[in-house]
Amino acid sequence: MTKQRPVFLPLAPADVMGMPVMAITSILHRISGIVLFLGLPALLYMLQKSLASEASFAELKDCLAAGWAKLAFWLLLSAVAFHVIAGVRHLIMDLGHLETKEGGHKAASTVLVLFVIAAALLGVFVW
Amino acid sequence: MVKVATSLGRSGLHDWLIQRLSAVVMLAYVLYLLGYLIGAYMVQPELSFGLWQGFFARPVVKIASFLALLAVVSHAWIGIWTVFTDYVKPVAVRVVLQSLLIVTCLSLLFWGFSILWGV
Repeated sequence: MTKQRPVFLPLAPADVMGMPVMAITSILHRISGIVLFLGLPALLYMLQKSLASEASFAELKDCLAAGWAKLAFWLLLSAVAFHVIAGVRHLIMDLGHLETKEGGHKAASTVLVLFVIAAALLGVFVW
Repeated sequence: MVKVATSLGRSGLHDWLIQRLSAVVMLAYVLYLLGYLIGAYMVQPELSFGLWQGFFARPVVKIASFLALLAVVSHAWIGIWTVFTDYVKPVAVRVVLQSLLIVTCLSLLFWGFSILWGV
């Protein structure tokens, strides 16, 4: 017995988990902020390693060549990218723009699109 | 008026302002760093220790980096404080967590300072 039933794919961002797109960017902004705070010691450690000596710089480079390290580094950089892009939207809204329902919808969708592009570019840079 | 002893700015308005000011400082720094890295990549694709260390040895970069770190720590203090007040309801637990947050932020700031001034 084969069933040919239509499958509903929540492709529009507004349909994900029943959340409007503004709610998604809002919670991702918060999550990326928490991730960045937790990742801050790692970033400072990498800065220390990269600046301490030629040997530790090379050591750090070797460490970052591992697959899991690349993935972790990319996730951190992506969190930075998301937080910055979504943060700029907040700054623009502070100036009194994009505060209507349609404007807010458009701005939040733009944030998501720009983030996907940024994450892809960061992926190219890391790998 | 609600008294919030563990917030950075001591009032919602102060926190709001610090959050925006620090955001602008960090945005400028991120764009500056990105611009430098892209510029360096154009000249020499493989980033060398000499180039990287030479960049951070410049006094202007040291000051910019320290200001950016100060902005990061202030921003995180306010941001994580907000997260704690939203999700951690028992007051005793929240005060402990927020105290740890303050100590962590200050430690990260001084650690970063020592890294930057050691270059």
